[in-house]
Amino acid sequence: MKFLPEESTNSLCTSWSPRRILTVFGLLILIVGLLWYGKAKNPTITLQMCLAAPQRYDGSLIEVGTEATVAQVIEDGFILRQMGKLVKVVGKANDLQVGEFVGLLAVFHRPGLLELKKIHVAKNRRTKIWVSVIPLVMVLLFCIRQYRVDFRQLGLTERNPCRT
Amino acid sequence: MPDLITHTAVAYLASRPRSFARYRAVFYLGTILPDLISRPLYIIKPELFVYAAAIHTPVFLIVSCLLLAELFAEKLRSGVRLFLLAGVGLHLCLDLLQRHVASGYFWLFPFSWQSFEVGLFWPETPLSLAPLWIGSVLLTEVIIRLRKLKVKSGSTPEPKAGFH
Repeated sequence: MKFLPEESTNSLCTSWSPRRILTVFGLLILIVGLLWYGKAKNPTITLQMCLAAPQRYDGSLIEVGTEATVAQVIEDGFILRQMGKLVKVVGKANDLQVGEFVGLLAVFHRPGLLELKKIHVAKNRRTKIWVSVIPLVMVLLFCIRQYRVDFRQLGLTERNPCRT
Repeated sequence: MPDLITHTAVAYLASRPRSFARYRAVFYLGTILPDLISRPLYIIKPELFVYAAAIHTPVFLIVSCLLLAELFAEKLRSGVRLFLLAGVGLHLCLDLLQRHVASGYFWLFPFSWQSFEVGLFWPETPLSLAPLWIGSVLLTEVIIRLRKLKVKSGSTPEPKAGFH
């Protein structure tokens, strides 16, 4: 007679119980709710909002940081590119190079001009993103090495439960 | 965020105690989770930044950890939950030390849109120290392996007299 190992017999009675399904469902609803709230109530004024309604946001102090790069360096400032849109930024900024990521605090003037207040040039940001892929892959491989999908439980279990 | 090499190296050094052994992979996963679920969103599609602002917050990440833990077998779940949360906590502690040109992360979301940070370094700064982190990890790994070898060689039984 073939005996099932202890782990297998346990797994028979620990599948997706109604409580577990409800928990997952509840957490998913919470996640969707937080995402909706985060979008709907975020008070940040973005450059895209200003460009969409220049009259409304004229004179507003805004933060620009999301994937904003230098498109061109000009005499009195630079041209900023964000989400495919180009905006002139007036103000002193040292050591700027085309293609660099920047974060800035600026006053928006209609129809589409930024008066620079504060700037940070995120040098090496592109390198940082690419370098970050290495530990990401390593951690995911480590997880795959340590855990496996148990189709009986429809969940993840240890590959080698004896490991301490 | 500091780069993921910094986050993972700090997690590696923090997870040396024996109590981490069973859940080390999960701890690492927790350490990279905040960036794993928020960054690709707006690096690939910057228009989705409004969602990313909500994702990289303690409340959202706690809910995500609870949801992720539900994917594991019941006997692992509480441990996975704990170590995922510990990893996320470590990640957020490092992020708290950063500085931004304007507002940083919304630590109290969804209760408040206030943002605060210690401001020790810019997000890109730790990248220049990546060789140091990698060196520390390698050195620790070498020391651990040497210790294991020493323990192994010390525990081999002495040959009995008369056998040689």
